[in-house]
Amino acid sequence: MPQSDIDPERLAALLDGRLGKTERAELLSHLAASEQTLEAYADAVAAVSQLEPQRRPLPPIRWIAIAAVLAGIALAPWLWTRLRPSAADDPGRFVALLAARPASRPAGLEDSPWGSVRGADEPLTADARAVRLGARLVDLELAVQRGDTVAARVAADVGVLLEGIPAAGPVSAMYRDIGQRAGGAPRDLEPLLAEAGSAAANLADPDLVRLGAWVEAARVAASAHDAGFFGARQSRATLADAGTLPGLTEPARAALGRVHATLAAERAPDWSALGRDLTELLRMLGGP
Amino acid sequence: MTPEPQGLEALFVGHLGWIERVAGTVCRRHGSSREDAEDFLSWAKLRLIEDDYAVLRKFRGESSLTTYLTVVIAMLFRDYRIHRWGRWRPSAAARRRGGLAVRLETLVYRDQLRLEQAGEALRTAGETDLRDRDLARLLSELPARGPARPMPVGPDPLADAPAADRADDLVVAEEVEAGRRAIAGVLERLSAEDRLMLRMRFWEGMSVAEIARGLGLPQKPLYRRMERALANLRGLLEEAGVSRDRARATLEE
Repeated sequence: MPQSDIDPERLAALLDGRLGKTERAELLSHLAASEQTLEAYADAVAAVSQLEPQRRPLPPIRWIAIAAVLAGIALAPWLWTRLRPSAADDPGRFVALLAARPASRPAGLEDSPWGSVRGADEPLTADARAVRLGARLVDLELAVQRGDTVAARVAADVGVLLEGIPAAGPVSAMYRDIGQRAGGAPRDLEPLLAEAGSAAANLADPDLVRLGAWVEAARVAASAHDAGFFGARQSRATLADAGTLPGLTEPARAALGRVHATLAAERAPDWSALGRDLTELLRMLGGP
Repeated sequence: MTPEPQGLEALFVGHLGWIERVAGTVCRRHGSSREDAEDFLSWAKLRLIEDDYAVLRKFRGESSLTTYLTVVIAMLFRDYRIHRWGRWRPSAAARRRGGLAVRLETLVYRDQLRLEQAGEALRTAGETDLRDRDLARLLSELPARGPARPMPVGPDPLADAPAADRADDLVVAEEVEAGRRAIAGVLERLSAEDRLMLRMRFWEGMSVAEIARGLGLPQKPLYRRMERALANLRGLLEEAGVSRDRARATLEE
């Protein structure tokens, strides 16, 4: 048996979630005090997580895909792009919903609604930071796709936002790398961008990063009168989920409600008003 | 009821694939070479078989057998590592940067290879295509470490100070040690679960998803909880006179 003062089966039961409340609390206290036991437990958790990932219920679209495969139906390539597991984490995925990527930053959207992220006197809340992060990741994706050297500045902004998040050093380094290569061929930067985007989104509250990314992409879509963006399933789902997020201020909820009402109306939206509401929503969500 | 020896042998053989995968995963997490991983696997199998499969005989069924075996192998690896290399282990900073960083740190600091030798070893083993210049940049992001020296394990793991050969090193080592003592003292003032959560994140380099699984907690609220616990820790460290930079440098090691 391994030389340890703790019963390995109790640790295994903790990992399997089979301990009672009192037993669990006792074992956690022991783990917190014993570096050696914690090290072994960390290895065990990492191994189980890697070898036996938790099974999550598949979203309906996956079942459609599986059923289609079983029925021998050829799937359209667009469906496969929606089955990639990494797509759920990458804030840049909203850019893929835009009908056309603007050749330059659309007029009126040159700057974020909060001004510079640098030198702010008031510290950002974790929620505001997550929203800003999502929005800036979309800006970065668009700049990279344009081959625009402004990507260097946007990548630096992302780095500043990440500085306030614990253990974000390695991801910040990835954005420094992206910034140094700004203006290069998009296909060279895309893999790094996708990897960094997923990592960054998971450092902050993923729901708020996603919301920030969606609102920023929606501002671009509104300026281009891109109805397809707002009709996409991911767009509608994100907007619906936003209403259930805890911690939104009343003014933010009101702005969200206006956006919702505009998009729910049967007539064509007033694109200018929608753009203004989205900007206002982003300003409130990402305000200090 | 304890199975007969033949039943235990069948149990062992039936789980051999799992045992090998777990051993491989744990070895990779610690930057072990392929040869070391094979050596550990042979050693661990012997420990599992010895005394008529005593490890399997002691299993009471309070967890799944695969999880039990996983924990046993992780504990065996710790014994093996101390036997082979003393207290040396990859830094949290290397773990957060991934397998290549762990391997590089291990070759340079534990095995005392020069950077170009380490680079050659990694490239020959097909573990990277990076040039020495890129590897040097990666290494520069990791904390400087002392060489591996087998030594007895004391009760305070935070007391493993780096080698101090020069006067400047001594000053830095004292600051690091003071930072460690302060952090250890401040951590004691947090709840056991928060303390554990932070230790898992910063000492063990675990992802939030892994921490959630290890503690049996939902993942999403853990991000905010981590944020709150860190803010609390930061406040307590400031009260104790530990600067943010010093705390960060200590946590990276």
